[in-house]
Amino acid sequence: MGSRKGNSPVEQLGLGTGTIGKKSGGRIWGVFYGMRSGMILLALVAALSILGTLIPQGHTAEFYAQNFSGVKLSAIQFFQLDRVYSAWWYGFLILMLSINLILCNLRRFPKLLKEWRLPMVPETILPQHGTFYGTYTAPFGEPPKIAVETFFKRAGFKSFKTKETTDGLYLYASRCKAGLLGSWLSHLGLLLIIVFFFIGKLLGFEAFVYGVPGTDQVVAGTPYRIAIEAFDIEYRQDYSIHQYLTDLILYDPENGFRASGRTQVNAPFRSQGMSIYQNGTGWALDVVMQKADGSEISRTLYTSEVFEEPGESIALHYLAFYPDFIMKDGQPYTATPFLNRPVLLYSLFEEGRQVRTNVAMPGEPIRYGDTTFSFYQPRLFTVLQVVRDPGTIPAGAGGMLLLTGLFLSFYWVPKSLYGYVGADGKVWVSGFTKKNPIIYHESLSALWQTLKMGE
Amino acid sequence: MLEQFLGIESLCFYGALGLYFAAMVLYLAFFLGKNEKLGRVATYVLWGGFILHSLALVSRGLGAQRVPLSNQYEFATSFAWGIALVYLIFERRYSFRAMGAFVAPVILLIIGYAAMQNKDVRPLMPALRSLWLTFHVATAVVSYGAFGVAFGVSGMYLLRDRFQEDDFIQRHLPTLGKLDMISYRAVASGYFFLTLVIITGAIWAESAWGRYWAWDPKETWSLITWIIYAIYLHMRIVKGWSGKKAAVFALIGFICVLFTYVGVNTLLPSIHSYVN
Repeated sequence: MGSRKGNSPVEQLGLGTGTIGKKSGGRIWGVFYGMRSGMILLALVAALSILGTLIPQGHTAEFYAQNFSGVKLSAIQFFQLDRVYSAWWYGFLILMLSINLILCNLRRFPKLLKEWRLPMVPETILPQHGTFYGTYTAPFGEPPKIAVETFFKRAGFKSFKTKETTDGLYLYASRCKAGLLGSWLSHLGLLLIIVFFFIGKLLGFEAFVYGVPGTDQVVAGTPYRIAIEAFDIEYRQDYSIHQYLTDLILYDPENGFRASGRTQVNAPFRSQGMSIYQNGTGWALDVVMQKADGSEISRTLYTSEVFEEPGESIALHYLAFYPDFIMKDGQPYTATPFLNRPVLLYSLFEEGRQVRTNVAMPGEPIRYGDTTFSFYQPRLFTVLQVVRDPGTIPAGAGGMLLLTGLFLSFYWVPKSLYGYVGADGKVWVSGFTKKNPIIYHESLSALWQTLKMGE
Repeated sequence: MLEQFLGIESLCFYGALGLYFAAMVLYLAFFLGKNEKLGRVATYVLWGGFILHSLALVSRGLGAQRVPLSNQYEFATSFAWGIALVYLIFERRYSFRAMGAFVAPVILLIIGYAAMQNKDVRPLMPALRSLWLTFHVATAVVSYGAFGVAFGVSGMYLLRDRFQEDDFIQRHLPTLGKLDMISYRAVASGYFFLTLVIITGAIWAESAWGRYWAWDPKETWSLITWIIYAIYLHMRIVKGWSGKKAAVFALIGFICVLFTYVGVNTLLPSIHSYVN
């Protein structure tokens, strides 16, 4: 029993692993499509992405001025490290990576096609190219031809082609050919994800609307409005939140479009290419300001808002609201989420200067100078996030392609098996695969031993 | 009822932890003491630990009436379970028991981390009440488990490479080529499942948070880990990277996995921090 190095038709046509990405083009162009440059770009993307996880992202200039100084602050400002993932240099890297993926896939396609179309040509498979397993000897059972066919079937190749020549009988079979497409498809999938992520960012929009039930809000940047019909929070017995629910109507007053429905966490309301998400909640209060001349102005105040009027020197800042107020360890706290002992925590400002911070109950006057504030009717408001992202579905398709490609690459490995039965009874069998050839060869050898086809 | 199930879970969990520890000691004794019988016992003990561990997870799931993959403790214990599962599959498939001496300590490390976490069963916040959570975290368990096995096998590779003259190591450790191939296969499986983790996470994020990718530190570190393993897989093709370089890369990749899992949750502000 001996063995020789395999030389499959794939290798004869120069389509082995060693040829991909090595030929043609100058060094300069190679930078754009080469796998090595692709790897360098990926490594750079990974390394620079780390910065965005270490430096807080998307804050105001004041935030960075307060938290960083000297060289760090200068570097953050100069290299746009406060928004790494939308910085020009990060975009440039992603662009280069996309170009690399496009060119790499375009270059590989003809080779892939050639490999895919590779004919089953028994004449090109010479016995000496295969792995010689031994001379078939009659005492072990079947005639050589049947024995090799049995070998093919046991190796998982149920159907195979044969060709009878004057030299002997050639057999050929292949399987999992779709695996050839794996790498190509996964690169295409990744490219689609990147491209449609950016298309989504460019053509899509995000807006927030908030309000109490019975109000009607404009969706900024669109002709649509949202009427908030109802808002509810479902609690469990331990007061933990089970679900937030908003009933709404999306409508376009211009063209008469109208759609109603419910949005809740993990189940957005979708219509007109938009998705409306349940994003948050808080307490809204009706606050009345009584001026020195006795006139009153009222408005609905939402969490963190300031009640200030032109020409008035006193303003009220809504800091927090406690529906069931208690003091615990010197800190304000709410015992339950229900309106049992509602209390507002506020700050008063005079000419922009903070003059008082205190708590007040509904209807309780908050006096400062000639101005009096009071609040009534605390109720929950809902915050809705309106998103339109035309890139989501194509990017999702890219994700599916990426997964399919990886599955084909890793678990659908193309394998072929060649057999030759000489007129003298000598039997050669050879397997070929690009991935893990050692394992494949070992499995064929083990099978050969099991079938006792050699000596 | 919940208390009863949690009682069973606690018993099984600590039983599994004890058996994993015993298995690690036995695997190491087998490997260092060159005693083959101990190796066979180690495999049985690891199987015992794995069965108890599975029972612990089932008990917790029944008690909490949900898939136990929703907080740091639950994910850590599932992570250790995933490594044990992938290891037992690989040991059975490749019949190389010595791998246990390298993988069992990783299992013990992760389950030890789980033991230190808060084990209270708390009701899920609305964002976590999604079927995608199960897919997302279950695929993470398998992915991280496979990377854990690749880590252990790569450690073995480096050891075998260093002690090429040692008879016992030559006899009981797979050949360098085979170790490299096992590590590659574990990385490939881990990579496929990591891609699934990222994609299922993106689908879930789209329905819960209104975007499928927002550069949250957890997402970004998952991407960084994905890129590191992508480079590993490509370098095998483009530069024929295998052997020592690939083994070192697999070790770095797993360190990145651990940082994504533990480091991001504890050190960086992240929307994923609620898993604590």
